[in-house]
Amino acid sequence: MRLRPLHSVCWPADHRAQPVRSKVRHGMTLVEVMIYACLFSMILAGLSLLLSTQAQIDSKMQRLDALNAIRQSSNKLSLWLEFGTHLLYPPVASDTDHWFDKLLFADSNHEKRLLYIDPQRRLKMRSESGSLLTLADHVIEFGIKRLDESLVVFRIKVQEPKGKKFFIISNSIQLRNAEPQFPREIP
Amino acid sequence: MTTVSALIGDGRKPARRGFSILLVVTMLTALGILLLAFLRKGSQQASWTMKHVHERVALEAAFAGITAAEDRLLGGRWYACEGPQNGVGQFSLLVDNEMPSSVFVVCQDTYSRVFIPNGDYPTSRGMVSISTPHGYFHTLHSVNVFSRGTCKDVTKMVFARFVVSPEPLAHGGSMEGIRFLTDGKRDAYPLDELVAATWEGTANGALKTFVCLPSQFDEHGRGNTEYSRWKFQVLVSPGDLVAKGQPLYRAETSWSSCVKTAQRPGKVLKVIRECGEGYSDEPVLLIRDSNAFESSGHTLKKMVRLTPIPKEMAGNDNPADESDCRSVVRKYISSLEANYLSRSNVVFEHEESLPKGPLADDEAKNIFTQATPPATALEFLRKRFPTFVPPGLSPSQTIDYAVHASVILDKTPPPVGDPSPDELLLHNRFFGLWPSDKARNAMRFSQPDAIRKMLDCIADKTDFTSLSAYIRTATTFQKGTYVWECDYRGPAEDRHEIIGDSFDSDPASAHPPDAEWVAAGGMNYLVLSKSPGTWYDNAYDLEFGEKRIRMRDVALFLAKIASDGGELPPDSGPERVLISDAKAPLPAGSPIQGKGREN
Repeated sequence: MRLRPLHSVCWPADHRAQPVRSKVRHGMTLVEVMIYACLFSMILAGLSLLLSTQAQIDSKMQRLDALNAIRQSSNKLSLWLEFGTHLLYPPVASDTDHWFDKLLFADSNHEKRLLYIDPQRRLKMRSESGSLLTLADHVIEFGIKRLDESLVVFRIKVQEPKGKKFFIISNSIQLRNAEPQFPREIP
Repeated sequence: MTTVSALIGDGRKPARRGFSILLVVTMLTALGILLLAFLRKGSQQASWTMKHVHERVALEAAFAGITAAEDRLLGGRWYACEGPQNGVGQFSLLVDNEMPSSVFVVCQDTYSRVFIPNGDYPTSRGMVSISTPHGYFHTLHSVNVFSRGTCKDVTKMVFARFVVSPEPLAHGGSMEGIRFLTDGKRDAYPLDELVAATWEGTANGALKTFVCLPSQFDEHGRGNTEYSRWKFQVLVSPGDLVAKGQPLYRAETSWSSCVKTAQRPGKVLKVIRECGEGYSDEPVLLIRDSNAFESSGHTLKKMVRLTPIPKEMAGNDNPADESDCRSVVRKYISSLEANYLSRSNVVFEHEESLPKGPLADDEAKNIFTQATPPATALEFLRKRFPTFVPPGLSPSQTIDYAVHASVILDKTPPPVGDPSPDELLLHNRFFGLWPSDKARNAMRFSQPDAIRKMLDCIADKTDFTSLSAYIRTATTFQKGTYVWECDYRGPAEDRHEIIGDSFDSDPASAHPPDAEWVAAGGMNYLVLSKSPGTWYDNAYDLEFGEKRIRMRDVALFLAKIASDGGELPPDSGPERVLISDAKAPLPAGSPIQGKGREN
């Protein structure tokens, strides 16, 4: 819309001497104010949307991180166990519903390794030679069950860092290097 | 946007001093940054996840390669029959799954040397002349297997060792061992079986050979990077006898075709796939050589010591390369061996209980305060020996083994009919009364713990000074005090009467003050002379089902798991044993005897 200059508008004579410009310059038209209001509301809405989206993204990312971490820890544990030579603990399950919370096994080089949860709820693996590896954080539960001389089932339950949701991963592993033991119990 | 003040001017063009555009641009930038951050984070997550998936798939492919290699090696060494005779074979497989991956496997033989004196020997096939160009020949100690799995750009390598006992001849592709005599000397070889294995001067091929689709590799071991997909049609059926040169299958790709012919005469044992499509090096047939020799004993074979190879220890990651990969990997494996052995006692440990609940790091450290006592190869063997379970048994066979296996001390060939007085006396002295229904075996230990009973029985005769001495003495009954002469003195129930000097007319000669009496077979004997001696062909055998394994082979098998003692094949290939034609055939059915078996 093209506006006409204000001085060409017919005003009463006693008003012509007044400095009209200075008064008008400080004002805004209603349309402009509305446009500003609209713009600001849009910006605010966008910002709040962005912020809330960011929070959701962060939450989802943390969840993804937790999921990824639990998957990684399961992979690492599987890798160590697959090449293992012997299981020292837990004993072969007589009660299939009972889960143990620690695992002691000998790796491919006959070095003993212990899996446990520390008081900070981290799943750790300590070797006989002293090396320490953290496999997962925020662990609610680590359960292990031994089905026979060389077959174990484990499950890891992890809580997302700033949320209430948790994830469980479970896997069964056969120790590929375990030598068959002479069956003591003859059926 | 035009401001109000600009509009009230004197007709000049209004100045543009607004910030709206800037604001919008800033907003868009912020939005873009957030979007990018989200995408980046998301793609990083996806990338990590995919990387782990690829690593897992590559490892599974490497495991698949080890399994495929074991499957092939159980049948025979295909590369020793058809490929270059450098003791190295290789094959590739495509693992066609949701996540395509491939595996490249290299098998490399290691040899033992067997010294044998040149000369003429009597065998069941007649007198033969045996010579070795350098005084020894090679047998197969074990096969090193390098398996490299690949998924996308991720590779994983796994090393394993295929051990075999007793050892087959190195030349030819047989995986069936030749049994050693059991007096522990490597130069004393069971010539009859050796002659059978190399009869007519030709080295046999594998006992069983997989016939594969055309290889990805040329005769020099160089491979194409592209896999060939072949359409094939098998031209023989199970049970068919095939002559050398007879067509086995027809295969074609879009650019070539070929007909595979038999390298040697044989019998088709199995048609794995009759027709269809397959990749290079994929087995389609299993053939047994018609002149292949099958050992009378059972050969123990197993893939052991699967070890992951870290990337930095895999050299150039190409197991076809001896100098830059295989030797690097072997060096790494050797560096692990000392610890593997010294910690091997751990496999006999069991933790009854561990504290429940979370553990602080110090508490976890205290779990290891009871250090495993270090072990030597001899201790490794001594502990593993009594709990040995033969490899390759199904679960039901394992139970059958646990219930019905027994260890027997047998004379080879076994005596026919009643035992001689010597045998009676020997048995009676050491093992109790002769079992009337088991006249062929001098002794039998049954389950449970048959091997442990055997070891207990000869504990005082076993030499623990070295691994080889232990194997020799713990698996044979070769030293003892034998009764050489004795005098029959009547039924056992009359013994008191005999000792009471009422039997013989010459009490002084019949009943010397230090007279030793033995009872055997329900009879009494007066020992006239005895001396320490060595009894040949007196090995303990492990028997279960239809199988019979020499205990010495079991001990060697376990010793091979403990440590590697093989040597790499020489460039000239394996040393062979040369056998001339028979000179003077022995009578049919003649027992194998003479220096060939007793020296």
